[in-house]
Amino acid sequence: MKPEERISLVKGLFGDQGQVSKYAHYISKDVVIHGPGSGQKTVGLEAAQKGDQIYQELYPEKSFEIKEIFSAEQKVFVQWVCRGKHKSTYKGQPIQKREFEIAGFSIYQIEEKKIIEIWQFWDRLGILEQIGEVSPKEPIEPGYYLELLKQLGMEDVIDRVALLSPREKDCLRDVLEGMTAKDTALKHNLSSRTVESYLDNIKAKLDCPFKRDLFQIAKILDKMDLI
Amino acid sequence: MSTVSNNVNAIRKFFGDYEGHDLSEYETVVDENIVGHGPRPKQTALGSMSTKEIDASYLVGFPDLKLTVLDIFGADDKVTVRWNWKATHLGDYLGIKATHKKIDLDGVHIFKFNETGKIIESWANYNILGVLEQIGVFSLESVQNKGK
Repeated sequence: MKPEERISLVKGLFGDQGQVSKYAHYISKDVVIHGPGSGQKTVGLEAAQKGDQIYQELYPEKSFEIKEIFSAEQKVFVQWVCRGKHKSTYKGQPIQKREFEIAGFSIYQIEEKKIIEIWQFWDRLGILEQIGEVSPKEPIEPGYYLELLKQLGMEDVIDRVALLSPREKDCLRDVLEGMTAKDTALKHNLSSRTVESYLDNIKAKLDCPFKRDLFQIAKILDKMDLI
Repeated sequence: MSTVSNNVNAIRKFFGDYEGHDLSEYETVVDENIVGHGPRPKQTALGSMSTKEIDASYLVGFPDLKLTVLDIFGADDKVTVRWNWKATHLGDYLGIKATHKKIDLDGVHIFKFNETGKIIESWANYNILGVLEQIGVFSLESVQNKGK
């Protein structure tokens, strides 16, 4: 295949993104996909289709823009931006900020006119941050974030949060409000010492050595309705 | 030798020097007007820091880093590199005190060269969330331990 032919194969795939029934035309049944999580690996066309199907359901309105594409050897490099919208309503309530924008790179290895291996890199943290812009006050369907976290290779976060007691979750929410241990103690009618020990438990359970990180974590967990 | 292979060789040498904490030839590879783009849309430099200062700050925070080129290829004035970065968070990094956590990260850069053979623009993408996970914001250790 000439470089132009490889480029047009990959462009074709981008054009049909989300229409998983067309993937067999572009992707080998033995494809190996690396990422986006560290060490995350998807093997086989069927698994790739299933993964994209989930994204398609989560984000039915999205489009990819190719910013840069070039090919050498058997490979094609693509720099892309995906723009999309979160679901517009939930239980009849409009969601305020729906647009998101994620940048990524993908490298495709092509053999016998089909994509045999893919390395993908994109800003997963950005997705989490931008999720928070979907009106956080509106309840989201149960399972919504779980599916997303699975896709992002982050199921362990759920397990970690499950370790927190209701009292510890209260404390974590107070951290988010910018409250000191003393404030929290007053609010819940506890001793400062008890609150400090809750915070130590939280740090241990979430494996987070620093208080400043705890704030960041609380922010993310809150956006995902996990606390 | 073609421009592409010159550029590929320049990047290989640049990565090798960097791993060896040698920034003495930085300016011979990187144009002074370089624009560096991070993984977030619209993210360019980190505040007022130059790319050299940013690169140097990683060496302070992660002095034992091993930088491996997993794949490198180019076309026209661009070169892309897929790399792996293994390091221990042993020093201060952008105000974060050493956590002594090990980081193992894959990422990709693209470099755009100007007519004098220097890098004029770069784009990086890697798993930022993975860095947070590994520094301990969301560590993977518990998952690994669970299997034991």
